[in-house]
Amino acid sequence: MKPEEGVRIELKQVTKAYGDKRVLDELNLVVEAGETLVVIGKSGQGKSVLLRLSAGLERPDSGEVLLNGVPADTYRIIPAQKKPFRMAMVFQGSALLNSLSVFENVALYLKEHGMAKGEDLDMLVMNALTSVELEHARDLYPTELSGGMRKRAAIARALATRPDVLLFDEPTAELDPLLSAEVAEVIHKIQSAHRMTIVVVTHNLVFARQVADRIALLEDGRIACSVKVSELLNAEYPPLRAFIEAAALA
Amino acid sequence: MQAAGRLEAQNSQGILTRIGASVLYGLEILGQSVNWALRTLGSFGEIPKRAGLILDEMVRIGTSSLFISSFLAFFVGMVLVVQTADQLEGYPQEVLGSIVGLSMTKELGPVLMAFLLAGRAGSAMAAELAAMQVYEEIAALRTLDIRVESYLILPKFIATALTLPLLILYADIIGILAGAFAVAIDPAIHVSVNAYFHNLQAYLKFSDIITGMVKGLVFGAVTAILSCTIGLRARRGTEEISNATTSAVVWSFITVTVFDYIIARIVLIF
Ligand SMILES: Nc1ncnc2c1ncn2[C@@H]1O[C@H](COP(=O)(O)OP(=O)(O)OP(=O)(O)O)[C@@H](O)[C@H]1O
Ligand SMILES: [Mg+2]
Repeated sequence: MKPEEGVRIELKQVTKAYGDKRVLDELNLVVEAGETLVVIGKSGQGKSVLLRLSAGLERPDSGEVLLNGVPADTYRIIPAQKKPFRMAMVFQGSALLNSLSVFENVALYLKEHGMAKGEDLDMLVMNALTSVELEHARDLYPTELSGGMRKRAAIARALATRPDVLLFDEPTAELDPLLSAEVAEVIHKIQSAHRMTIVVVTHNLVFARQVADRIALLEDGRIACSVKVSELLNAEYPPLRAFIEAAALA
Repeated sequence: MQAAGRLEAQNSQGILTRIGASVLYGLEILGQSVNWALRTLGSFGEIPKRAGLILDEMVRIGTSSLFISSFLAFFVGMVLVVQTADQLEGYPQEVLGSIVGLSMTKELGPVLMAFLLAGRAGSAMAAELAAMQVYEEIAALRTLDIRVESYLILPKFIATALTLPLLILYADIIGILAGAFAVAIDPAIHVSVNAYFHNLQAYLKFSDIITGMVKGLVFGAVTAILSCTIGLRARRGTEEISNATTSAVVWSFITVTVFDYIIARIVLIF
């Protein structure tokens, strides 16, 4: 379970329902250590639920979610200092703490767990903010930011924890094409810097092609198909085809 | 057919079902509150780490309640004098001092301030936590390995439990002074302000004031836990934020009254 070896995410026969509605239905998925997987799928298909389960924020009704063999919900409650690896998540709605400034939001994890202070902390936070071009907004509060700025602050907050696994829910939904490209650049940098396992949920196929090793389509509660990014444009599975054509990639 | 039958059954059980449902709901809140209370007590070791947040909360609670509590305590003090004087017809009005003093410190101060705190700070806490739940800030905290009971509940718990007794002491003083004011200006009252204070001094014990403040400590702690628990129960949808707000106030009122009785009963034993 050494982080150098990366973290493998495995979902086995995962079922999750809310009331009568089965959102995930015996879903199977493996994200290999060091892999970047992009999950696409229509709105309301359960992509965010898939990420919440992977982060151990919720428990599946049946089946297992394993992070290097450890059930995700068990992993979740291990105290920060004892965790075998770190996982960060960027939420669809950013989920910044409204009572804290951008700087404090990004610094929160390191400060809370005594992992950095003083100038060190300052530098780590500013590095994270600079990588998403938000250094000028350090003293603003979340309510003073645009949607795209909030998203970038949330990305910075995740990066500042120096994670081994990163879960991204729609990282580019509110960003213009230039900023999306910047975020793709940030992801490239962290991919090459260390063996990080990344799961990205996005509707943005241009972005998906920039960052993904593999693209998986979530449909009717399961992974309906998954293709290497190099084979995306040749994919024949009709629902995936429909996505590709709608995005005018081919 | 089947559906119609079910509907009939539902109607005939209507009241019982609803009573049952609200009892279950109450027990659920009670259980969750006890759970959060235990977890909060378990993070008492982190009080020094949260000192800044505790102070922030105390200031927030104090500033949101101070003006209105002065107002409330002032008029309650005056009302006590006027009302009691009316009831006393024939009896000597000297007893006004002790009646105002004792009712204020032992009962009205604590309960009124607790209700005020529940309405002001408790509802705000419930709304804040419900919003944090709805906007996934709570989930984000969990991904940052930050425990809700330590980061969010503990500061509110300590701050309310410390602030309410102070607020009560303040209300006691204002109420007693307001009583003196009413004695001085009301032509229907024939005792002197001096006699009022003399009688107050003769009957009001230091322990009465302390009892009231201890009540405040308990009421504050209870209000904080209930409000936080109810706030955290919110799931999705912004209407849950407003629901949490009102239900925190109602539940706090009920629970404070119950604890008021329990404490009064315990004090009677000693
Ligand atoms: N906590 C919850 N309670 C009830 N229903 C939920 C909950 N979370 C998700 N759902 C339901 O599960 C389904 C999938 O939701 P999810 O948010 O995962 O969709 P999504 O694929 O992320 O959609 P989008 O692309 O619009 O973000 C939806 O029908 C949603 O209503
Ligand atoms: Mg989603």
